[in-house]
Amino acid sequence: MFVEVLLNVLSLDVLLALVGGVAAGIAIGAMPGLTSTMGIALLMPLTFKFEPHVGMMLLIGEFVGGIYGGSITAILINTPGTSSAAATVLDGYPMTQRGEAGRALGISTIASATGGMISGLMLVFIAPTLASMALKFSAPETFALAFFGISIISSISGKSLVKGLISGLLGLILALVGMDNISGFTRFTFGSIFLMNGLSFIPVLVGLFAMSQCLLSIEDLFTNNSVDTTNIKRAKISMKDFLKILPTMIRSGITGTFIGIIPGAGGDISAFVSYDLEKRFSKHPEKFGTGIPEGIAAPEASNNGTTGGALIPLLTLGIPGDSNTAVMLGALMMHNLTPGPQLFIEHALTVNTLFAGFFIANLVMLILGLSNVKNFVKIVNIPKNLLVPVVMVLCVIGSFAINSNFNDVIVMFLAGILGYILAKGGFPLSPIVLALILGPMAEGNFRRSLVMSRGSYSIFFTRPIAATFIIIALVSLFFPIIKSMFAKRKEAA
Amino acid sequence: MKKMLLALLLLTTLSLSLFAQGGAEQATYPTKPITITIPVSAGGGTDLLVRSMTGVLKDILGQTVNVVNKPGAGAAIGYAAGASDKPDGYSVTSMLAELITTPQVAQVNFSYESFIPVCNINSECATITVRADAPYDTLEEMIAYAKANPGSISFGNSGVGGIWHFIAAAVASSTGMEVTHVPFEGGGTAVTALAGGHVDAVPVTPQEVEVQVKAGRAKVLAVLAPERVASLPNVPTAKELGYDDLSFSIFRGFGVPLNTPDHIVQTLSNAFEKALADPAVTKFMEERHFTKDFQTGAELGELMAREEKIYAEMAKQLGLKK
Repeated sequence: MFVEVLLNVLSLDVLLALVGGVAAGIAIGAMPGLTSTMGIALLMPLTFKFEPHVGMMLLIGEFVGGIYGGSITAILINTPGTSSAAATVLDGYPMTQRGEAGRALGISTIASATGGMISGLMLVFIAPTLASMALKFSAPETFALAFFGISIISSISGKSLVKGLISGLLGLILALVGMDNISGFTRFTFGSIFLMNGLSFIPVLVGLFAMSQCLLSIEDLFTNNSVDTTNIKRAKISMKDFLKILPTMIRSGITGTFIGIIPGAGGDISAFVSYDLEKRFSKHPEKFGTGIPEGIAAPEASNNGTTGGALIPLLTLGIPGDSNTAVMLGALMMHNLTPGPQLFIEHALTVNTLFAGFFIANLVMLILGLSNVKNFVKIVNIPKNLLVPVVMVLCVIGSFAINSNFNDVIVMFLAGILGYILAKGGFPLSPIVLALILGPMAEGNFRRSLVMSRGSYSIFFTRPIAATFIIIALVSLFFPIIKSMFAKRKEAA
Repeated sequence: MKKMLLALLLLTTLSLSLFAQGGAEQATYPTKPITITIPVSAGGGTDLLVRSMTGVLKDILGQTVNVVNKPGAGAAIGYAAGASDKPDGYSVTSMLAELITTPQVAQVNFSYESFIPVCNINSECATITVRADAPYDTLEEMIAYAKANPGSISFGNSGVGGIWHFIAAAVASSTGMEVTHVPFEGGGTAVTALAGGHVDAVPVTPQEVEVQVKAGRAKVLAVLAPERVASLPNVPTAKELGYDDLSFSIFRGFGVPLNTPDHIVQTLSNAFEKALADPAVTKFMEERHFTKDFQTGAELGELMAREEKIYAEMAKQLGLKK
C-alpha cells in the first residue's frame, strides 16, 4: 500500500494538480473578495475530466492555498483577502508598518504550513474518533460556540474596550438586516428584495478593510504625508522567531482542527479564537496588536488547521465542516467516492493518496510562499497613487463576483465609508467582522435550539458541550473584571 | 476640413453599426452568448446539473452558454433579477420549486407567472427519511408512534416557507402526525442534524440523504412520488400506503422573461431536450442520481399551477401567508 500511495502521489499529474491548485488558491485567496470556496466551486467542473484522486488533489490544493493566500494582503495592505485572514491584520499590518513585511509574511507562511500539517496528522491518525464530535454538534452547541466567540470582542478591541464594544454592537445590528430564518420575518429591509438576504458578508468585509484603507491612503496622498516606503528592511523570519512561535503554532493548529470539525464553523472563527487564547495565556498580552510574531502565527496556524479538520467529517461521515468542504462533497460524489466508513475500505488507496497529497499541498504552499516573499513584499513598495486604484478595482470586482449583484458593490462602498469614519474615530474594525460572522450564527441557533426543545432553556445546560462553552464564555467575560478587582485590592493593601 | 472629415468618419461608423444591428436581428437566434441565471449558490445540485449541460448546449446552439449564480433570500434575488431581464432569449432563468414557495411567504415582485416556462429537465421526489435507530421501520409504525407519543416527532427543513417546510407540513396534515418543524440553513444542514440525532426526520430528496443512508445513519420510510424510485426499489411510495395526496415533484426547469418570442422559446426547448439526450449528460445524471424528466413548457406551466395551489393552501394552514 505504501509504495502504491507513493507512486500515486509522486506522479506528474498529481504533483501538477497540487502545485496548480495551491498556486490558484493563493492567488484567489489573496484577492479581496474572492474566497477559497468560490475558487473550489469554479475549479470543480474541471476535475470531472480527471482521475478522482487527481481532481480531488486540485481542490485540496486550492483549499489549502486559498486559506493561506488571504494573509498576504492582510499583512501587506491591511486588507484580508478572505474572512479567514480577518484576524491576521491585527498584528500582521502593524509589523509591515514597522518595515518588517518580509518577516510577517515568513511567519504567516510557516505558521500556515505548520497548522495545516498538524491538522493533517490529526486527520490521518484520529479522524474516526474526532468525527463523532461533528455529529454531537447541533444548534445548542453551535449557539454556545458563537456565544463564546462573541466574548472574544473584548480581546481584539485594541486600546479602548468601550470603542471595541461599540464596534461589536454595530456589527450585531448590521447582522440583523434581512429575512430571519426561523420565522421568515423581514427586518430592516425597507421592502427591498436585495436586503431580504441580509448584508452579504464579503462585500462588507472588503468595504470595511480594503475600501476604507484606500480612502485613508487617498487622504494621505492629498495631504502629502504619505508613508515612507523606503524604509522596508530586508527583514526575514529568524530561527529565534520560529522557536518563539512554535508552541503557538502547535496550540493553534490543534484548536483550528477542532473548530474545523464543527459543521458551520470555519477558518474565520478559529483564527479569532486562537488569537484570543494566545493573548489570554501570553505573558505579555499587552503586546498583542502591536505586530508581534505570536499575533500572526496564532490566526494563521489556526485557519489552516481548519483545512484538515473540515476534511475529517467530510471523509468519514459525509458531513462538510465548512463551506469549502460542502462544495467538495459534491465533487466526491461526482467521482463516485461516497464518503463514510466504507470509503476507507473500498477506496483505501484513494483515501491514503488524498492524505499524502494533503501533506504535499502544505509543503508546496510552504515552498511557494517562502520563495515568493520577496515578490509579495514588492506590493508595499508600489507607490500609493498606483496601488490604491488597483485595489479599488479589485474591491469592486470581488464584491460583484460573490453573487453577481451590483447592489453588493454599493454595500461595499458604504461599508468603506463607514470603515473610514470608524478608523478616523479610533474604533477597531475587527469586532464588527466578528459580530457579523457570529451574530447570525448565535441568533439562529439560539432560536433553533428553543424550537427543538419546545421552548425550554434547559437545552443549553443539559447538553455537556453546550454547557462547557457557555461556562467558558462567562468565565472569559468576567475574568478580567474579577482580576482587576483583585489587583485593586492588592494595591490598596 | 479636419472637422468635416471627422464628422464624415463618425457618420460612416454610425451607419455601419446600424447595418450591423439590422443584420443581427434578421439572423437566426442565437447570435450571441446566452446566460442562464441560477438563483441558488454554486456547487449545489441545481448548479452542477446546469453546468454539466452547458458544453453540450454550446454545440447545439452554436453559442456559448454562461452560468451566473445569484443566490439569496430563498432564491428571491435570482428570480427578481431574472424576471426583469430583457425578453430577447439571451437571458434564461433556472426555475425551481422556490419560484412557487417563496412568493407564498415573502413580499416579492415576481411569481411563477412572471416567466414563460421553456421546459423541465429533471424532477426529484420528496421522502420521509428518519434516523436509522428510530423505533419504527415503516410509515405506519411511525404514525402509530407519533400518535402514542404526541409532539415527539421533529422534521428538519431548509428554512421557514421553503419547499421542505411545506412538504413536511403536508405530511403532517395528511397523516395526522403532530410535528415540530425545525428550520435549518439548508437541506444539507438538516440532513446533518438528522445524522447526529438532533431531529427525527427530514423530507428531502433521496439524493440528498444517500450518503447517510449508505452509512447506516438514516433510513427512508417512504418516497412521496407517483412511482417507486429506481435507486430505492424496496421503499414504498406514500400512495401505495394510502396517502394519495402525498406526491410532489421537485422540478428543475427553465424559464424566460414574459414577452420572449415564441420561436425563441421553442428553439431553447429543443436545445435542452437534445442536450438531455446527450450521452455525456446522461452518464452524469445517472451517476449522480438525477432523474431525467423532460416536460414541455406547457406541461411545466400546468405542473407549477397545480403545485402553487397546494403550497398556497399549506402556507395558510401554517399561518405563513404574507
